[in-house]
Amino acid sequence: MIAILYNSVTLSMLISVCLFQNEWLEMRVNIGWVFFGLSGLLFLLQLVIHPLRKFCATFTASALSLVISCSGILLLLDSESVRIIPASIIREGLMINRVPFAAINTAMIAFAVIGLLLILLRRDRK
Amino acid sequence: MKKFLLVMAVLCALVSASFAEESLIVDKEKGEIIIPAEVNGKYLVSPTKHALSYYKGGNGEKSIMRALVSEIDYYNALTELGAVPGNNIKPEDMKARNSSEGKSTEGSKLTVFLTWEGSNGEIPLDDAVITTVANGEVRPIDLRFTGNLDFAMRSHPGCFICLDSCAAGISTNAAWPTGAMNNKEVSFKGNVKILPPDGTKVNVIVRLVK
Repeated sequence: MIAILYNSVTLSMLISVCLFQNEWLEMRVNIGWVFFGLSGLLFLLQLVIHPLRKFCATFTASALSLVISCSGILLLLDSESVRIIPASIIREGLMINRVPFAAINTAMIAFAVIGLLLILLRRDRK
Repeated sequence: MKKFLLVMAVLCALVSASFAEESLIVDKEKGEIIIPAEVNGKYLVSPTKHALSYYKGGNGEKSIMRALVSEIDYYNALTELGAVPGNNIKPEDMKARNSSEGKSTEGSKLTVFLTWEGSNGEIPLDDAVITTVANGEVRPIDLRFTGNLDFAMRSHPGCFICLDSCAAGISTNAAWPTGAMNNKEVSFKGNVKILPPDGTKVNVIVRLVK
C-alpha cells in the first residue's frame, strides 16, 4: 500500500509539472488540486488493475517512478524553477500559501527518501 | 495515517489563520492609495497576467503579489480620489484572438510604485515586471482605472492590477489590448532581480495621474 501511494504521488507530481507548463491552464485551474486529484486517481488505478498492482507494489516500481519523475521535472524546469514550481503546486493544493518553499521542499525530499527506505525495508522483511 | 492527517489539518488551520486582513490607506492630498501585499514567489519564475490580486479572490494565488485587502475597497478608494472608470472592456472582448481584434482599456491614468523593507525607495511597477514581447517592441505599462465593479462583485476574481486590458481587473494595462496574450504576443512575470523573495510584505502605491 505504501509503495502504491508513493508511486501515485511521485508520478502525479511529474504530470502536474507538465500541466503547469500550459499557461492557459495554469491561469485557470488550481494545479495543486489537480496534483492531489491525480494522486488519488493513480492510487485507485493501481489498486483496481490487478496485474499493475502486483508490479506497482514492488521496490523496483517505486524506485523507477522516482527516477522518472525527478528526471522529467529536471528536464522541464530550470534550476531556479525546480526549487519553486513543485513546492508551489503542493502549497496551492493544501492552501498553505504562507509556508516557505524551502520548508515544502524539505518535506518533499523527506517523503521521497524516507518513503523509498520504508518500501525497501518492508520488502526485505518479506 | 490518522496522526499524519491530524497534523496536516492543524498545520493548515494555523497557516490559514495567520492571514490577517489589513486595510488600505487613502491619501487624498497626495492622490495615492497604499495597498498592503505580499510577493508570491511562484510568479518570479513563471508567467502570469496578474500583478496584484486579493488573496481571497479566484486569482489570489495567480498573481505576482497577493493583496491583503479586498479589490472592492480598492475600487472605492479610487473613486474617492476622483478617478473615473473606463468600463469599456466587456467579457466578450476577452475572446479576441489577437491584439488587432482586441480593445484597450480606458479610464483615469494611474501609476504604480512598490516599496518594502530595504527597497531603497519607490520601485516602479515597470521595473518589477519582466515583459517579454514576441516582436521585441517595448511598451511601458499604461495603467488605467478600468472599473469592472459589477464583474468583481459577481465573480470575485480579486483582480486589482492586470498586466493587459481585461474585463475582470479594477485597473488594467492599456498598453496591451485584449487578445494580445491569447495570441502570445506578450507575456509577463515578476522580476526576480528586483522583487524581494517569496512572502515579503510590500506596499503597492497607486497614484492618480491628474
